[in-house]
Amino acid sequence: MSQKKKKRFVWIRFAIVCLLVLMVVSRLSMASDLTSLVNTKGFYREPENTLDVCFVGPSEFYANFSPTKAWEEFGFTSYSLALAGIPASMHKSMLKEVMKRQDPSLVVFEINGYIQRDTYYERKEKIRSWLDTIPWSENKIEAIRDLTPPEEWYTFLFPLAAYHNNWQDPGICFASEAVRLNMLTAEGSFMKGYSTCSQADPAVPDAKIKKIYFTDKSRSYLQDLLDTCHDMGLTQVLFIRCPHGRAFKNPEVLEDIQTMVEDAGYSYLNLNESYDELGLDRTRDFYNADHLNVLGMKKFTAWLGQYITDHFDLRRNYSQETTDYWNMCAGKTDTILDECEKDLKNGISRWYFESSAYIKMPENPSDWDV
Amino acid sequence: MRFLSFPFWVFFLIAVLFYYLPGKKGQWIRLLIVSLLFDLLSCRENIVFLLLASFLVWFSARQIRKNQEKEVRLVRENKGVWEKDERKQFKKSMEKKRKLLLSLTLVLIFGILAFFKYGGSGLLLPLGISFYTFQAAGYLIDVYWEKVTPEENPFRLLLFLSFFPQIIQGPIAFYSDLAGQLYQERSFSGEDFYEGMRRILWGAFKKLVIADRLVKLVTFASGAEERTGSLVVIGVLAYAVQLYTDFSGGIDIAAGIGRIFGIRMAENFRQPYFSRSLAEYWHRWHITLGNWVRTYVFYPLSISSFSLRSGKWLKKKNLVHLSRVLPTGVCSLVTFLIIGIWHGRGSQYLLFGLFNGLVILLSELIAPVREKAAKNLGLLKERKRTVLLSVVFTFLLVAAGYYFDLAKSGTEALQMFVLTCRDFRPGQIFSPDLYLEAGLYAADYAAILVGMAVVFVDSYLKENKKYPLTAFLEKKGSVWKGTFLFVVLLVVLIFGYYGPGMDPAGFVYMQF
Repeated sequence: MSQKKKKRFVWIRFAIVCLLVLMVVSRLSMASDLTSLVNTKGFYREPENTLDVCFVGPSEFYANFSPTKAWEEFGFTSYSLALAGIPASMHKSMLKEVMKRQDPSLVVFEINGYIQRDTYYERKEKIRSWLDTIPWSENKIEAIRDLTPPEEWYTFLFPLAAYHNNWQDPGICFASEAVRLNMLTAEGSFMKGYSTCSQADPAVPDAKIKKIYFTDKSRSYLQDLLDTCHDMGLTQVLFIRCPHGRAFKNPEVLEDIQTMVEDAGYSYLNLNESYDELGLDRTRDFYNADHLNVLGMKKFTAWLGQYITDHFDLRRNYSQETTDYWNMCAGKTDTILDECEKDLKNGISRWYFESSAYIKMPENPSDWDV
Repeated sequence: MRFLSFPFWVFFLIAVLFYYLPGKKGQWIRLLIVSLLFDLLSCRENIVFLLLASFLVWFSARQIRKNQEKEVRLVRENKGVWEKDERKQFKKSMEKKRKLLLSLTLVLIFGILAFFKYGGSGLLLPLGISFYTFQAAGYLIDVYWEKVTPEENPFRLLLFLSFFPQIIQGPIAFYSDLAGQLYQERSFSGEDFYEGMRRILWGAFKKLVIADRLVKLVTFASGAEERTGSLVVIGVLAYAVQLYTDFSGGIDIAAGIGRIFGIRMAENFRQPYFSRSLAEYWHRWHITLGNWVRTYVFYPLSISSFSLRSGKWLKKKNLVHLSRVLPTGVCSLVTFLIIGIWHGRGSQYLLFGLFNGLVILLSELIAPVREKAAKNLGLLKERKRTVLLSVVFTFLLVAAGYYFDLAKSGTEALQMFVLTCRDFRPGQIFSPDLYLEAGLYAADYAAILVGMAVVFVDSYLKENKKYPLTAFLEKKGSVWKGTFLFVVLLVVLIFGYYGPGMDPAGFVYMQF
């Protein structure tokens, strides 16, 4: 090899090493909310076309509803593709991802994202918790193009530019990477997007009454989602307001949403303050004003599971393989839920999510505090 | 388009390929295209003024040159025909025409600058207008002084004024230093690329790791509702670091970009905070502006008949020291007033110029007394202790000047001085909570402090003309150099204060 060629080879090798280091550092910097991350990654681990019901929306879904409990009690498969504080503008791309891999009989959306101020749509870290976790596709490019400012587009190709400030918290970076790697090799998602905290907040009944909004922006995002549902040929779609510990100052705002949804031929259900109907005790069943704890979840899952069974046509013709897989997942989840309930009784406050199935809970609760 | 933005780097990469790949022929034309494109992408309106100034100055310079040639030709042709007085009168009339043309052009180009800068027109200041106006004026005066031959091709002059790395915040180049390099044909050089990248990354480190992080602290300290003297001091000290790292960082980036095109731009900083006097500081800080003002304002003023006559008059009165110091001191004061006015419209900038000019004038006036006192106190100039004292004292003077820079008016600057003296609370300076209130985390301050330590060590070594890292890398070869660049790049990418969610701060000197 001539000297010139040798030199060129050295530089090519050097450039490749630099590029690899940059890619590793860039990936390592991508810290995310672990629950949202594991729920999204877990969704992609689900065998294709096996889910009958898909829940799409914010943290209310991952805290309030357990797909494996619903499986045990009502025999339908479901998944909570739920991300903390996800803006409603992301629902369309979430639905597209769902429909790419699954053929659900029913899709359920939580309306929380539509009843916030417009600033809710600007929360970059929430937007990115979804967009940076899903694989590259036309849908992802479309969402980036439509929902993020052009000057930030390059950061989706080079995430270090957006996440580099996480050097201040290396722990969360490594935890996120551990979750990503774990979900890459996991058999599947055991908890199917369920996540909770072993805590009961007795002060929930005193929570501040909330003012809600249905802005022009929210209206246009909802209309766009309804149109997309139609374009995709979806016949069974439910828009739901999950139970919350606090009342609304201006509940009449919801009427507009209900009208839009029902005019589009879809179902609407407001359970915000349906405590009696659901059998919820606000002093025991919530871990904070916006989320049910494991006790509340059991009640809500039982109620909603029944409602879905009564009001919608589900396939429920699962293969033996799917049935076995779901039974295995339900068993694993039950063990975790038992542990969580035990913690709740003992006043130990810990976070339980998909990764809890892989990590042994520390003896000392303070190591896993919420 | 800003330096350090993603689109800029894409633009830059394409520009370098466009400059070198098609070969040497027509390189300057490609550089001009790239520069104009950068102007268009950065500030569309700017191109109009840039073209106007370029062609106006090109035309005036040509006319001045023609006038000079005509004068020489006619004098030669009429040698022995014209009487001495006749020849003198002719020369005078030609000189008058040239002066008139020069003055008119200068009034016009500085008029445009003044309109945007001081007119309160509400229009956005075209990018780099100060810098290219100064370069254009310098070029024209040089032609008038017959120091340079005017450029025949207007587009070559346009390149000198629009060369894109310098358009954002300088440095202000002399035509004789830069023009030749711009038109030179060259091949891609690995050494230039390495040196250029090293400068760019060093500048990015100063700007992104230190300066942009400090913006929050400076804004917090100078905008606090309950302002105390100690908060003012924190703000001023943070500003001193922010301004230096921001401005010198920007200049490093510009110089690095220039170097990758094979062009060595003038240095604008020489460890200014190591200066031992305010006069020395102004020879180390914004060197190219200092050189420009000295060449085109201070020196002509110093040799003006008023200055010379007043010197002689003082000498006659047996005031030898004063005769040497006062006339130049007054010229220097005028020069500083111009520098102050150049910085902006408010009274605080005028006071900034006045403060610097007066301190230097006073320092020169009391020089004999000061030197005598130092000798009596045993403060020998060479001693480390004396050097340290002078450096600290000069820094405090410079920092005092920053009061005017930070204030929104002259009155506010004076109020800040009063606050510093009356309401200084030392405890506040060392209160961690106060710093966290600025919106930065402890880790941010750690990054700032480490960054400052790195800049200090670099400056100290440069000051002592020691370059151990450069020597080490030279010895080790190009792969080590490449690795070094990559490590600095990683440091900047990880620890820099940029990207979505951060407040990107423009270069401080962009506004001038």
